[in-house]
Amino acid sequence: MSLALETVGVSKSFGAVTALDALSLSIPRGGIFGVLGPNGAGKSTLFRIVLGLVAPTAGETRLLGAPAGDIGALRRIGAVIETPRFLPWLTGRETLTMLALASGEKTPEIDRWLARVGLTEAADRRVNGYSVGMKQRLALAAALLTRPELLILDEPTSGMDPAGILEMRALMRELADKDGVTIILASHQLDEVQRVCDAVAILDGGKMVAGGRVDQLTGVGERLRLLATPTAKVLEILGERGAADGEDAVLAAIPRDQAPALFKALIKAGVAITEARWVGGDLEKVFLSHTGEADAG
Amino acid sequence: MLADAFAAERLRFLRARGTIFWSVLFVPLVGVALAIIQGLFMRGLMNRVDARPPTRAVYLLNQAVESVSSSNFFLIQVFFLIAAAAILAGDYRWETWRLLTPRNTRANLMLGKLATFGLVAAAGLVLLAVSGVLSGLVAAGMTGGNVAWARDGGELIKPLAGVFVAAWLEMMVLGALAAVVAVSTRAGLATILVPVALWIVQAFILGQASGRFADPMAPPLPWLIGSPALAADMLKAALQPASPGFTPPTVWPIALAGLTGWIAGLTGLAVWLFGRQDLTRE
Repeated sequence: MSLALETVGVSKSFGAVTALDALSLSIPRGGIFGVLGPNGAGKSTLFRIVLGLVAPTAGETRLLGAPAGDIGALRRIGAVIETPRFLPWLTGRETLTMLALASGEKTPEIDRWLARVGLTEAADRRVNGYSVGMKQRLALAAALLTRPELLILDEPTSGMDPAGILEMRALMRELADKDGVTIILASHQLDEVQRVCDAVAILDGGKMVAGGRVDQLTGVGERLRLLATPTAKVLEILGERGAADGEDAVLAAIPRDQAPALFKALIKAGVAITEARWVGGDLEKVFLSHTGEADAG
Repeated sequence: MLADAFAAERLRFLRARGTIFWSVLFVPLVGVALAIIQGLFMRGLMNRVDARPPTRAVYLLNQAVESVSSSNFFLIQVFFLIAAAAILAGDYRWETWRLLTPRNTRANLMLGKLATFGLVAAAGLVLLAVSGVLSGLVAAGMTGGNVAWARDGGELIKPLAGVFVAAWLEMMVLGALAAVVAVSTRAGLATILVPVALWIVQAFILGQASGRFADPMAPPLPWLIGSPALAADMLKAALQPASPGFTPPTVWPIALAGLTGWIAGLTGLAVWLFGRQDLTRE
Protein backbone atom coordinates (compact mmCIF):
# COMPACT_ATOMS: atom_id res chain seq x y z
CA MET A 1 0.00 0.00 0.00
CA SER A 2 1.31 3.45 -0.91
CA LEU A 3 1.80 5.57 2.17
CA ALA A 4 1.55 9.33 2.52
CA LEU A 5 3.31 9.31 5.85
CA GLU A 6 5.07 6.61 7.81
CA THR A 7 6.80 6.93 11.15
CA VAL A 8 8.70 4.04 12.70
CA GLY A 9 9.62 4.34 16.36
CA VAL A 10 9.87 8.12 16.22
CA SER A 11 10.78 9.75 19.50
CA LYS A 12 11.44 13.34 20.41
CA SER A 13 12.50 14.69 23.76
CA PHE A 14 12.91 18.29 24.83
CA GLY A 15 15.13 17.99 27.88
CA ALA A 16 13.23 15.87 30.35
CA VAL A 17 9.97 16.17 28.43
CA THR A 18 9.13 13.38 26.00
CA ALA A 19 6.92 14.76 23.26
CA LEU A 20 6.87 11.62 21.12
CA ASP A 21 7.58 8.16 22.47
CA ALA A 22 8.51 5.60 19.80
CA LEU A 23 5.54 6.55 17.66
CA SER A 24 4.82 4.24 14.76
CA LEU A 25 2.11 5.41 12.43
CA SER A 26 1.16 4.67 8.84
CA ILE A 27 -1.14 6.99 6.93
CA PRO A 28 -2.21 5.73 3.51
CA ARG A 29 -2.55 7.96 0.49
CA GLY A 30 -6.05 9.18 -0.31
CA GLY A 31 -8.85 10.49 1.87
CA ILE A 32 -8.78 12.55 5.03
CA PHE A 33 -6.94 11.23 8.06
CA GLY A 34 -7.47 12.74 11.50
CA VAL A 35 -4.79 12.99 14.16
CA LEU A 36 -6.36 13.52 17.56
CA GLY A 37 -4.98 13.94 21.02
CA PRO A 38 -5.15 16.09 24.10
CA ASN A 39 -2.86 19.09 24.45
CA GLY A 40 0.71 17.86 24.74
CA ALA A 41 -0.08 14.56 23.04
CA GLY A 42 2.62 15.20 20.44
CA LYS A 43 0.56 16.21 17.40
CA SER A 44 2.41 19.47 16.71
CA THR A 45 5.79 17.84 17.33
CA LEU A 46 4.86 15.10 14.87
CA PHE A 47 3.94 17.69 12.24
CA ARG A 48 7.10 19.69 12.87
CA ILE A 49 9.18 16.54 12.42
CA VAL A 50 7.34 15.73 9.21
CA LEU A 51 7.98 19.25 7.90
CA GLY A 52 11.66 19.13 8.81
CA LEU A 53 11.36 21.90 11.38
CA VAL A 54 12.45 19.59 14.18
CA ALA A 55 14.77 16.60 14.08
CA PRO A 56 13.59 13.46 15.87
CA THR A 57 15.67 12.08 18.74
CA ALA A 58 15.20 8.57 17.35
CA GLY A 59 13.27 6.70 14.70
CA GLU A 60 12.56 7.09 11.03
CA THR A 61 10.01 9.18 9.16
CA ARG A 62 9.11 8.78 5.52
CA LEU A 63 7.05 11.34 3.68
CA LEU A 64 5.54 10.33 0.32
CA GLY A 65 8.15 7.56 0.24
CA ALA A 66 11.11 9.88 0.87
CA PRO A 67 13.01 10.46 4.12
CA ALA A 68 11.70 13.34 6.25
CA GLY A 69 13.41 16.61 5.42
CA ASP A 70 13.83 15.68 1.76
CA ILE A 71 13.13 18.98 0.02
CA GLY A 72 11.72 17.21 -3.05
CA ALA A 73 9.08 15.52 -0.90
CA LEU A 74 8.46 18.65 1.16
CA ARG A 75 7.63 20.58 -1.98
CA ARG A 76 4.89 18.05 -2.69
CA ILE A 77 3.13 18.83 0.56
CA GLY A 78 1.34 21.87 1.93
CA ALA A 79 0.91 22.57 5.60
CA VAL A 80 -0.87 24.83 8.03
CA ILE A 81 0.52 24.17 11.47
CA GLU A 82 -0.53 25.82 14.71
CA THR A 83 -1.57 29.48 14.56
CA PRO A 84 -0.80 30.87 11.10
CA ARG A 85 1.93 33.51 11.18
CA PHE A 86 2.79 35.97 8.44
CA LEU A 87 4.99 38.99 7.86
CA PRO A 88 2.60 41.78 8.89
CA TRP A 89 3.74 44.38 6.35
CA LEU A 90 2.99 42.21 3.33
CA THR A 91 -0.42 41.99 1.70
CA GLY A 92 -2.09 38.63 1.20
CA ARG A 93 -1.10 38.63 -2.46
CA GLU A 94 2.51 39.62 -1.68
CA THR A 95 2.70 36.88 0.93
CA LEU A 96 1.68 34.25 -1.59
CA THR A 97 4.02 35.73 -4.22
CA MET A 98 6.92 35.61 -1.78
CA LEU A 99 6.19 32.02 -0.80
CA ALA A 100 5.79 30.97 -4.43
CA LEU A 101 9.16 32.55 -5.21
CA ALA A 102 10.79 30.71 -2.29
CA SER A 103 9.36 27.44 -3.61
CA GLY A 104 10.59 28.09 -7.13
CA GLU A 105 6.98 27.81 -8.27
CA LYS A 106 6.87 29.26 -11.77
CA THR A 107 3.10 29.34 -12.27
CA PRO A 108 1.64 29.80 -8.80
CA GLU A 109 -1.93 30.78 -9.87
CA ILE A 110 -2.17 33.14 -6.92
CA ASP A 111 -5.50 34.66 -7.94
CA ARG A 112 -7.05 31.22 -8.27
CA TRP A 113 -6.05 30.16 -4.77
CA LEU A 114 -7.07 33.50 -3.29
CA ALA A 115 -10.48 33.04 -4.87
CA ARG A 116 -10.74 29.46 -3.73
CA VAL A 117 -10.26 30.43 -0.08
CA GLY A 118 -12.47 33.52 -0.42
CA LEU A 119 -9.80 36.20 -0.06
CA THR A 120 -10.00 37.91 -3.44
CA GLU A 121 -11.34 41.18 -2.03
CA ALA A 122 -8.82 41.27 0.82
CA ALA A 123 -5.88 40.21 -1.35
CA ASP A 124 -4.27 43.64 -1.46
CA ARG A 125 -4.75 44.47 2.19
CA ARG A 126 -1.91 44.07 4.64
CA VAL A 127 -1.99 40.83 6.58
CA ASN A 128 -1.80 42.59 9.96
CA GLY A 129 -5.36 43.77 9.32
CA TYR A 130 -6.65 40.24 8.76
CA SER A 131 -8.86 38.44 11.27
CA VAL A 132 -7.77 35.05 12.62
CA GLY A 133 -10.15 33.34 10.22
CA MET A 134 -8.73 35.27 7.25
CA LYS A 135 -5.22 34.29 8.29
CA GLN A 136 -6.37 30.68 8.37
CA ARG A 137 -7.66 31.04 4.83
CA LEU A 138 -4.44 32.69 3.68
CA ALA A 139 -2.43 29.91 5.31
CA LEU A 140 -4.51 27.37 3.42
CA ALA A 141 -3.95 29.24 0.14
CA ALA A 142 -0.21 29.24 0.91
CA ALA A 143 -0.33 25.52 1.54
CA LEU A 144 -2.13 24.93 -1.75
CA LEU A 145 0.21 27.09 -3.87
CA THR A 146 2.39 24.21 -4.98
CA ARG A 147 -0.60 21.94 -5.77
CA PRO A 148 0.39 19.49 -3.02
CA GLU A 149 -0.25 15.75 -2.98
CA LEU A 150 -0.43 15.84 0.81
CA LEU A 151 -1.95 18.56 2.93
CA ILE A 152 -1.29 18.80 6.66
CA LEU A 153 -3.83 20.96 8.49
CA ASP A 154 -3.52 21.70 12.18
CA GLU A 155 -6.74 23.24 13.51
CA PRO A 156 -7.67 24.75 10.15
CA THR A 157 -11.06 26.06 11.31
CA SER A 158 -10.03 27.74 14.55
CA GLY A 159 -11.12 31.37 14.55
CA MET A 160 -13.53 30.85 11.66
CA ASP A 161 -17.20 31.74 11.71
CA PRO A 162 -19.76 28.95 11.14
CA ALA A 163 -20.05 29.74 7.42
CA GLY A 164 -16.28 29.63 7.10
CA ILE A 165 -16.15 26.28 8.89
CA LEU A 166 -18.70 24.84 6.47
CA GLU A 167 -16.76 26.22 3.49
CA MET A 168 -13.51 24.80 4.85
CA ARG A 169 -15.13 21.42 5.41
CA ALA A 170 -16.49 21.37 1.88
CA LEU A 171 -13.13 22.46 0.48
CA MET A 172 -11.32 19.67 2.33
CA ARG A 173 -13.76 17.10 0.99
CA GLU A 174 -13.45 18.50 -2.50
CA LEU A 175 -9.65 18.45 -2.38
CA ALA A 176 -9.65 14.88 -1.14
CA ASP A 177 -12.37 13.54 -3.43
CA LYS A 178 -11.86 15.50 -6.66
CA ASP A 179 -8.19 16.52 -6.60
CA GLY A 180 -6.96 13.34 -4.93
CA VAL A 181 -5.13 15.24 -2.20
CA THR A 182 -4.39 13.28 0.95
CA ILE A 183 -5.25 15.39 3.99
CA ILE A 184 -3.94 14.90 7.51
CA LEU A 185 -6.12 16.90 9.86
CA ALA A 186 -5.60 17.70 13.51
CA SER A 187 -8.55 19.27 15.23
CA HIS A 188 -9.96 19.68 18.70
CA GLN A 189 -13.45 19.64 17.26
CA LEU A 190 -14.23 15.96 17.35
CA ASP A 191 -17.61 16.27 15.69
CA GLU A 192 -15.86 17.97 12.77
CA VAL A 193 -13.30 15.18 12.58
CA GLN A 194 -16.07 12.60 12.67
CA ARG A 195 -17.84 14.36 9.81
CA VAL A 196 -14.92 14.75 7.45
CA CYS A 197 -12.31 12.13 8.31
CA ASP A 198 -12.17 8.64 6.90
CA ALA A 199 -9.76 7.34 9.52
CA VAL A 200 -8.10 8.67 12.66
CA ALA A 201 -5.21 8.05 15.01
CA ILE A 202 -5.51 9.06 18.64
CA LEU A 203 -2.28 10.12 20.34
CA ASP A 204 -1.71 10.44 24.05
CA GLY A 205 1.57 10.95 25.84
CA GLY A 206 3.44 10.80 22.56
CA LYS A 207 2.08 7.36 21.67
CA MET A 208 -0.71 6.15 19.47
CA VAL A 209 -3.41 4.76 21.76
CA ALA A 210 -6.06 3.99 19.13
CA GLY A 211 -6.49 4.18 15.41
CA GLY A 212 -8.54 2.97 12.50
CA ARG A 213 -11.48 3.84 10.32
CA VAL A 214 -13.89 6.27 11.97
CA ASP A 215 -16.92 4.04 11.40
CA GLN A 216 -15.12 1.08 12.94
CA LEU A 217 -13.90 3.06 15.93
CA THR A 218 -17.26 4.64 16.63
CA GLY A 219 -19.01 1.33 16.08
CA VAL A 220 -17.45 0.10 19.33
CA GLY A 221 -19.86 0.94 22.15
CA GLU A 222 -22.70 1.73 19.78
CA ARG A 223 -26.07 0.32 20.91
CA LEU A 224 -29.57 0.02 19.47
CA ARG A 225 -32.18 1.81 21.56
CA LEU A 226 -35.62 0.25 21.18
CA LEU A 227 -38.96 1.63 22.29
CA ALA A 228 -40.92 -1.59 22.27
CA THR A 229 -43.59 -3.36 24.34
CA PRO A 230 -43.60 -5.51 26.22
CA THR A 231 -40.07 -4.65 27.34
CA ALA A 232 -39.82 -7.83 29.37
CA LYS A 233 -40.19 -9.85 26.18
CA VAL A 234 -37.49 -7.78 24.48
CA LEU A 235 -35.10 -8.28 27.38
CA GLU A 236 -35.85 -12.02 27.35
CA ILE A 237 -34.95 -12.30 23.65
CA LEU A 238 -31.79 -10.19 24.00
CA GLY A 239 -30.56 -12.02 27.07
CA GLU A 240 -27.17 -10.66 28.25
CA ARG A 241 -27.04 -8.28 25.32
CA GLY A 242 -30.05 -6.28 26.56
CA ALA A 243 -30.47 -3.72 29.31
CA ALA A 244 -33.47 -1.67 30.39
CA ASP A 245 -33.19 2.07 29.71
CA GLY A 246 -35.95 3.63 31.76
CA GLU A 247 -39.49 2.23 31.80
CA ASP A 248 -40.19 1.78 28.11
CA ALA A 249 -36.82 1.48 26.41
CA VAL A 250 -34.24 -1.24 26.00
CA LEU A 251 -30.61 -0.87 24.94
CA ALA A 252 -29.41 -3.69 22.73
CA ALA A 253 -25.64 -4.25 22.49
CA ILE A 254 -25.54 -5.81 19.04
CA PRO A 255 -23.59 -5.13 15.86
CA ARG A 256 -25.43 -3.32 13.09
CA ASP A 257 -25.50 -6.35 10.81
CA GLN A 258 -27.51 -8.32 13.40
CA ALA A 259 -30.25 -5.69 13.64
CA PRO A 260 -32.50 -7.15 10.86
CA ALA A 261 -32.46 -10.59 12.51
CA LEU A 262 -33.33 -9.04 15.85
CA PHE A 263 -36.28 -7.13 14.37
CA LYS A 264 -37.60 -10.34 12.80
CA ALA A 265 -37.31 -12.20 16.11
CA LEU A 266 -39.05 -9.44 18.01
CA ILE A 267 -41.93 -9.18 15.54
CA LYS A 268 -42.30 -12.98 15.51
CA ALA A 269 -42.55 -12.87 19.31
CA GLY A 270 -45.35 -10.29 19.12
CA VAL A 271 -43.34 -7.28 20.28
CA ALA A 272 -44.63 -3.92 19.10
CA ILE A 273 -41.71 -1.70 18.06
CA THR A 274 -42.45 2.03 18.03
CA GLU A 275 -38.90 3.36 17.63
CA ALA A 276 -35.40 2.05 16.98
CA ARG A 277 -32.23 4.15 16.72
CA TRP A 278 -28.51 3.81 17.19
CA VAL A 279 -27.08 5.68 20.17
CA GLY A 280 -23.65 6.28 21.64
CA GLY A 281 -20.51 5.46 19.71
CA ASP A 282 -19.53 9.03 18.86
CA LEU A 283 -15.88 9.90 18.40
CA GLU A 284 -15.82 12.01 21.54
CA LYS A 285 -16.64 8.99 23.69
CA VAL A 286 -14.02 6.93 21.88
CA PHE A 287 -11.50 9.72 22.39
CA LEU A 288 -12.29 10.09 26.08
CA SER A 289 -12.18 6.36 26.67
CA HIS A 290 -8.64 6.21 25.27
CA THR A 291 -7.21 9.37 26.70
CA GLY A 292 -9.16 9.76 29.92
CA GLU A 293 -9.36 13.47 29.12
CA ALA A 294 -12.37 15.55 29.99
CA ASP A 295 -10.91 18.18 27.71
CA ALA A 296 -10.93 16.78 24.25
CA GLY A 297 -8.03 19.00 23.21
CA MET B 1 17.43 26.86 -5.62
CA LEU B 2 19.39 29.71 -4.14
CA ALA B 3 18.06 32.12 -6.76
CA ASP B 4 14.48 31.37 -5.59
CA ALA B 5 15.32 32.01 -1.94
CA PHE B 6 17.14 35.23 -2.91
CA ALA B 7 14.17 36.43 -4.97
CA ALA B 8 11.76 35.78 -2.08
CA GLU B 9 13.99 37.62 0.39
CA ARG B 10 14.40 40.57 -1.94
CA LEU B 11 10.66 40.88 -2.37
CA ARG B 12 9.92 40.90 1.33
CA PHE B 13 12.71 43.37 2.09
CA LEU B 14 11.65 45.76 -0.67
CA ARG B 15 8.15 45.86 0.87
CA ALA B 16 9.48 46.69 4.35
CA ARG B 17 9.53 50.46 3.92
CA GLY B 18 10.31 51.26 7.55
CA THR B 19 13.35 48.99 7.56
CA ILE B 20 14.57 50.44 4.25
CA PHE B 21 14.29 53.97 5.63
CA TRP B 22 16.19 53.29 8.83
CA SER B 23 18.82 50.98 7.40
CA VAL B 24 19.87 52.67 4.15
CA LEU B 25 18.18 56.08 3.83
CA PHE B 26 18.40 57.62 7.27
CA VAL B 27 22.19 58.07 7.53
CA PRO B 28 22.65 59.60 4.04
CA LEU B 29 19.70 61.94 4.64
CA VAL B 30 21.16 63.02 7.97
CA GLY B 31 24.51 63.58 6.23
CA VAL B 32 22.95 65.93 3.69
CA ALA B 33 20.83 67.62 6.36
CA LEU B 34 23.91 68.25 8.51
CA ALA B 35 25.72 69.75 5.51
CA ILE B 36 22.80 72.13 4.92
CA ILE B 37 22.64 73.09 8.59
CA GLN B 38 26.38 73.64 8.69
CA GLY B 39 26.24 75.79 5.56
CA LEU B 40 23.37 77.87 6.88
CA PHE B 41 25.12 78.33 10.19
CA MET B 42 28.30 79.47 8.46
CA ARG B 43 26.39 81.94 6.30
CA GLY B 44 24.50 83.28 9.29
CA LEU B 45 27.71 83.68 11.23
CA MET B 46 29.47 85.45 8.38
CA ASN B 47 26.54 87.78 7.78
CA ARG B 48 26.56 88.71 11.43
CA VAL B 49 30.24 89.72 11.38
CA ASP B 50 29.80 91.17 7.89
CA ALA B 51 32.45 88.94 6.33
CA ARG B 52 32.55 86.64 3.38
CA PRO B 53 32.45 82.96 4.23
CA PRO B 54 35.78 81.23 3.50
CA THR B 55 35.60 79.70 0.07
CA ARG B 56 36.45 76.05 0.08
CA ALA B 57 37.02 73.95 -3.00
CA VAL B 58 34.95 70.79 -3.01
CA TYR B 59 36.25 67.60 -4.61
CA LEU B 60 33.25 65.40 -5.21
CA LEU B 61 35.00 62.04 -5.57
CA ASN B 62 37.05 62.66 -2.44
CA GLN B 63 33.83 63.53 -0.63
CA ALA B 64 32.32 60.24 -1.80
CA VAL B 65 35.38 58.25 -0.70
CA GLU B 66 35.31 59.84 2.76
CA SER B 67 31.63 59.21 3.07
CA VAL B 68 31.91 55.51 2.15
CA SER B 69 34.91 55.15 4.45
CA SER B 70 32.79 56.36 7.34
CA SER B 71 30.74 53.16 7.15
CA ASN B 72 33.11 51.55 9.65
CA PHE B 73 31.95 54.01 12.33
CA PHE B 74 29.94 52.03 14.85
CA LEU B 75 26.92 54.34 14.81
CA ILE B 76 26.60 53.92 11.05
CA GLN B 77 27.07 50.15 11.40
CA VAL B 78 24.09 50.08 13.77
CA PHE B 79 21.83 51.35 10.99
CA PHE B 80 23.13 48.80 8.50
CA LEU B 81 22.57 46.10 11.11
CA ILE B 82 18.92 47.11 11.40
CA ALA B 83 18.58 45.62 7.93
CA ALA B 84 20.58 42.56 9.01
CA ALA B 85 18.28 42.04 11.99
CA ALA B 86 15.14 42.39 9.87
CA ILE B 87 16.43 39.98 7.25
CA LEU B 88 18.21 37.43 9.42
CA ALA B 89 16.21 37.44 12.65
CA GLY B 90 12.79 38.43 11.27
CA ASP B 91 11.57 34.87 10.82
CA TYR B 92 12.28 34.13 14.47
CA ARG B 93 10.41 37.26 15.54
CA TRP B 94 7.38 36.69 13.34
CA GLU B 95 7.51 32.87 13.66
CA THR B 96 7.49 32.51 9.90
CA TRP B 97 10.24 29.92 9.44
CA ARG B 98 7.44 27.35 9.34
CA LEU B 99 6.25 28.90 6.08
CA LEU B 100 9.67 28.89 4.45
CA THR B 101 11.62 25.80 5.50
CA PRO B 102 9.36 23.32 3.67
CA ARG B 103 9.84 25.33 0.45
CA ASN B 104 13.60 25.43 0.04
CA THR B 105 16.72 24.00 1.68
CA ARG B 106 17.86 25.65 4.86
CA ALA B 107 21.25 26.40 3.30
CA ASN B 108 19.60 28.21 0.39
CA LEU B 109 17.29 30.15 2.70
CA MET B 110 20.19 31.38 4.84
CA LEU B 111 22.39 32.16 1.83
CA GLY B 112 19.45 33.98 0.19
CA LYS B 113 19.18 36.14 3.31
CA LEU B 114 22.89 36.95 3.29
CA ALA B 115 22.78 37.74 -0.42
CA THR B 116 19.91 40.13 0.27
CA PHE B 117 21.90 41.78 3.03
CA GLY B 118 24.78 42.07 0.59
CA LEU B 119 22.51 43.90 -1.82
CA VAL B 120 21.22 46.18 0.92
CA ALA B 121 24.77 46.90 2.12
CA ALA B 122 25.84 47.79 -1.41
CA ALA B 123 22.82 50.07 -1.85
CA GLY B 124 23.52 51.70 1.51
CA LEU B 125 27.15 52.37 0.58
CA VAL B 126 26.13 53.85 -2.78
CA LEU B 127 23.71 56.15 -0.97
CA LEU B 128 26.44 57.13 1.48
CA ALA B 129 28.63 58.06 -1.51
CA VAL B 130 25.79 60.04 -3.06
CA SER B 131 25.19 61.76 0.26
CA GLY B 132 28.89 62.71 0.37
CA VAL B 133 28.67 64.23 -3.11
CA LEU B 134 25.45 66.10 -2.28
CA SER B 135 26.91 67.40 0.96
CA GLY B 136 29.90 68.69 -0.99
CA LEU B 137 27.67 70.43 -3.49
CA VAL B 138 25.62 71.99 -0.71
CA ALA B 139 28.77 73.25 0.99
CA ALA B 140 30.11 74.64 -2.28
CA GLY B 141 26.79 76.29 -3.08
CA MET B 142 26.59 78.00 0.28
CA THR B 143 30.19 79.15 0.49
CA GLY B 144 30.72 79.85 -3.19
CA GLY B 145 33.59 77.36 -3.37
CA ASN B 146 34.80 75.72 -6.55
CA VAL B 147 33.64 72.24 -7.42
CA ALA B 148 35.98 69.69 -8.97
CA TRP B 149 35.88 65.93 -9.39
CA ALA B 150 39.10 65.05 -7.57
CA ARG B 151 41.89 66.73 -5.67
CA ASP B 152 45.04 67.34 -7.71
CA GLY B 153 43.30 65.86 -10.73
CA GLY B 154 44.06 62.41 -9.32
CA GLU B 155 42.63 59.18 -10.53
CA LEU B 156 38.92 59.10 -9.84
CA ILE B 157 37.47 55.67 -10.07
CA LYS B 158 40.08 53.34 -8.60
CA PRO B 159 40.15 54.84 -5.08
CA LEU B 160 36.38 55.06 -4.93
CA ALA B 161 35.89 51.53 -6.21
CA GLY B 162 38.55 50.26 -3.84
CA VAL B 163 37.03 51.93 -0.82
CA PHE B 164 33.61 50.73 -1.86
CA VAL B 165 34.74 47.09 -2.21
CA ALA B 166 36.66 47.17 1.08
CA ALA B 167 33.75 48.78 2.93
CA TRP B 168 31.32 46.29 1.41
CA LEU B 169 33.49 43.33 2.40
CA GLU B 170 33.77 44.67 5.93
CA MET B 171 30.00 45.11 6.04
CA MET B 172 29.56 41.54 4.80
CA VAL B 173 31.77 40.26 7.62
CA LEU B 174 29.42 42.11 9.98
CA GLY B 175 26.42 40.62 8.15
CA ALA B 176 27.76 37.07 8.36
CA LEU B 177 28.52 37.61 12.04
CA ALA B 178 24.98 38.94 12.46
CA ALA B 179 23.69 35.73 10.83
CA VAL B 180 25.55 33.59 13.38
CA VAL B 181 24.18 35.74 16.20
CA ALA B 182 20.64 35.70 14.78
CA VAL B 183 20.59 31.91 14.54
CA SER B 184 22.19 31.46 17.95
CA THR B 185 20.05 33.94 19.86
CA ARG B 186 16.90 34.11 17.67
CA ALA B 187 16.71 37.78 18.73
CA GLY B 188 16.76 40.90 16.56
CA LEU B 189 18.25 43.19 19.20
CA ALA B 190 21.18 40.85 19.79
CA THR B 191 21.68 40.65 16.02
CA ILE B 192 22.31 44.41 16.03
CA LEU B 193 24.16 44.88 19.28
CA VAL B 194 26.53 41.89 19.44
CA PRO B 195 28.35 42.55 16.12
CA VAL B 196 28.66 46.27 16.89
CA ALA B 197 29.97 45.50 20.38
CA LEU B 198 32.52 43.09 18.94
CA TRP B 199 33.60 45.74 16.41
CA ILE B 200 34.08 48.30 19.18
CA VAL B 201 36.15 45.81 21.19
CA GLN B 202 38.14 45.03 18.06
CA ALA B 203 38.81 48.74 17.45
CA PHE B 204 39.91 49.18 21.04
CA ILE B 205 42.34 46.25 20.88
CA LEU B 206 43.66 47.43 17.51
CA GLY B 207 44.18 50.92 18.90
CA GLN B 208 46.25 49.47 21.72
CA ALA B 209 48.26 47.15 19.51
CA SER B 210 48.83 49.18 16.36
CA GLY B 211 51.24 51.54 18.11
CA ARG B 212 53.59 48.62 18.47
CA PHE B 213 53.53 47.70 14.78
CA ALA B 214 56.94 48.43 13.21
CA ASP B 215 55.24 49.65 10.02
CA PRO B 216 51.57 50.64 10.32
CA MET B 217 51.13 49.88 6.59
CA ALA B 218 52.51 46.36 7.00
CA PRO B 219 50.96 44.91 10.14
CA PRO B 220 51.95 41.42 11.33
CA LEU B 221 50.18 38.59 9.50
CA PRO B 222 48.16 37.26 12.49
CA TRP B 223 46.74 40.72 13.09
CA LEU B 224 45.92 41.21 9.44
CA ILE B 225 44.07 37.91 9.21
CA GLY B 226 42.59 38.02 12.69
CA SER B 227 41.10 41.50 12.46
CA PRO B 228 38.59 42.15 9.68
CA ALA B 229 38.57 45.88 10.51
CA LEU B 230 42.34 46.10 10.06
CA ALA B 231 42.19 44.07 6.85
CA ALA B 232 39.51 46.42 5.51
CA ASP B 233 41.62 49.48 6.44
CA MET B 234 44.63 48.01 4.63
CA LEU B 235 42.53 47.28 1.58
CA LYS B 236 41.16 50.82 1.51
CA ALA B 237 44.62 52.29 1.95
CA ALA B 238 46.13 50.08 -0.74
CA LEU B 239 43.88 51.62 -3.36
CA GLN B 240 44.58 55.22 -2.44
CA PRO B 241 46.98 57.05 -4.75
CA ALA B 242 50.54 57.34 -3.47
CA SER B 243 51.48 60.80 -2.23
CA PRO B 244 54.45 62.35 -0.45
CA GLY B 245 54.66 60.67 2.94
CA PHE B 246 52.20 57.94 2.04
CA THR B 247 53.07 54.63 0.44
CA PRO B 248 50.08 52.36 -0.13
CA PRO B 249 50.38 49.03 1.71
CA THR B 250 51.42 46.03 -0.32
CA VAL B 251 49.72 43.50 1.95
CA TRP B 252 46.34 43.95 0.31
CA PRO B 253 46.11 40.39 -1.12
CA ILE B 254 46.43 39.00 2.40
CA ALA B 255 43.89 41.55 3.63
CA LEU B 256 41.51 40.57 0.86
CA ALA B 257 41.98 36.87 1.60
CA GLY B 258 41.46 37.55 5.30
CA LEU B 259 38.18 39.39 4.72
CA THR B 260 36.79 36.79 2.31
CA GLY B 261 37.90 34.06 4.72
CA TRP B 262 35.96 35.70 7.54
CA ILE B 263 32.88 36.02 5.35
CA ALA B 264 33.09 32.39 4.18
CA GLY B 265 33.82 31.05 7.67
CA LEU B 266 31.03 32.94 9.42
CA THR B 267 28.56 32.20 6.63
CA GLY B 268 29.43 28.52 6.81
CA LEU B 269 28.97 28.57 10.58
CA ALA B 270 25.57 30.28 10.28
CA VAL B 271 24.40 27.76 7.65
CA TRP B 272 25.70 24.83 9.72
CA LEU B 273 24.01 26.05 12.91
CA PHE B 274 20.74 26.79 11.12
CA GLY B 275 20.76 23.40 9.43
CA ARG B 276 20.84 21.68 12.80
CA GLN B 277 18.46 23.96 14.63
CA ASP B 278 15.15 22.72 15.99
CA LEU B 279 12.47 25.21 15.05
CA THR B 280 10.07 24.21 17.80
CA ARG B 281 9.02 27.77 18.30
CA GLU B 282 10.75 30.23 16.07
